[in-house]
Amino acid sequence: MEDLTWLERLRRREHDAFAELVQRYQQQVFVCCAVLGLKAHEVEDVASETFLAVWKSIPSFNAKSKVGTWLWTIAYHKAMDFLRKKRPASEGIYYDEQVLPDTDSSRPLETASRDEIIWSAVKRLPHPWPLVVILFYREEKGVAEIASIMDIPENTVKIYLYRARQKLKGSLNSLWKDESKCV
Amino acid sequence: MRIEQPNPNDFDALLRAGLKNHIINVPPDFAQKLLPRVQRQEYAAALAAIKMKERLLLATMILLPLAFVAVALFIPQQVMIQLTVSIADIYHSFLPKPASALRQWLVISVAAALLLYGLVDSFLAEN
Repeated sequence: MEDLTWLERLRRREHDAFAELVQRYQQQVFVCCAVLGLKAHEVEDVASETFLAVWKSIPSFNAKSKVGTWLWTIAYHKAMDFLRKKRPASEGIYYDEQVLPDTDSSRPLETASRDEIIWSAVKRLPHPWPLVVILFYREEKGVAEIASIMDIPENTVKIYLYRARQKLKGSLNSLWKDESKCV
Repeated sequence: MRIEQPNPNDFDALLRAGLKNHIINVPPDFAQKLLPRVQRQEYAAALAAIKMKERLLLATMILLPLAFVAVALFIPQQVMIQLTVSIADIYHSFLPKPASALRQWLVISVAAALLLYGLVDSFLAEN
C-alpha cells in the first residue's frame, strides 16, 4: 500500500515530497542504469533525467501500479534511449560502474567480495538479462511485473531468467562450491 | 542496509543475497542538485503556457475581424439582408426611436465584435 498522503503531496507538486521520492528511489534508479551498462557519470545523468521525467508526468500517474514499478519503467526506457543515442550498435553494451567502498566493519570481508563477484557475473550477462535478474532476485518482482516494466512478453522474461540462471550457475560454480565447503 | 546471509546450498538464495547486499554509489548531493533543475523546468513550463496564451490572443485579435470581413464579403445578399433585418428588428425592439439601417448595422456589428472579443479574452485569461 503506497503512502497516499505522500502521493497527494507529490501531485500537488510539493518539492519536499519530490526530495523524499528521490531519497527513496535513487538507489533503485542507479542500479537500473548501472546494470544496463552505463558508465558512472552517465548513470548520474540518466538518473537525473529519470527523476525529471517522473516530476513532469506525476499528474498522469494513476496509482494503478506501484510508484516503484512506475519508476523502474521510466528508468529502463530512459537508459535504453540513452544507450541507443550515445552508443553505436557495433560498440555493444559497456560495463563500468563505481562500487561503493565497503565501510561496514560488521560485514565480513568474504561476504563483501562474494557479493561483488555475483554482481560482476550478473553484469557480464548478455543484454537485457542483467536487468531481468536484478528485477527478479534483488527487487523480488514477479514475471508479469518485469514483463510490464520492460514491455516484453511474459514468456520471454521466463526464458531470459532460465538462461541467465544457467549461465550464472556456470560462472559462479566455483564460488558456490567454496561456500558449500565452508559449512 | 541489512546484510542477508543465505543458505550456501541454495543457489537462488546466494544470488538474491549477493544482489541485495550490493550498493551503488549515489552522490550525496544528488537530490539537492535535482531541485534547481525541477524549478527551472517549472519556470520553463509556466513561460511556455504564457507564450501560448499570448499567441492565441494575438491570433484571435487578427482572425476575428478577418472572419467578420469574410462573412460580410461572401455571405449571399439575400441572407445578408434577412440577417440585417432580423438584427435590426431585435435592435428596434430595444429602442424607442428608429435609426438609419447603416447606423444600426454598424452599432450591432461593433457590439457583437466586442462581445465576442470579451468572451474569448476572458476565456483565455481564466485558462
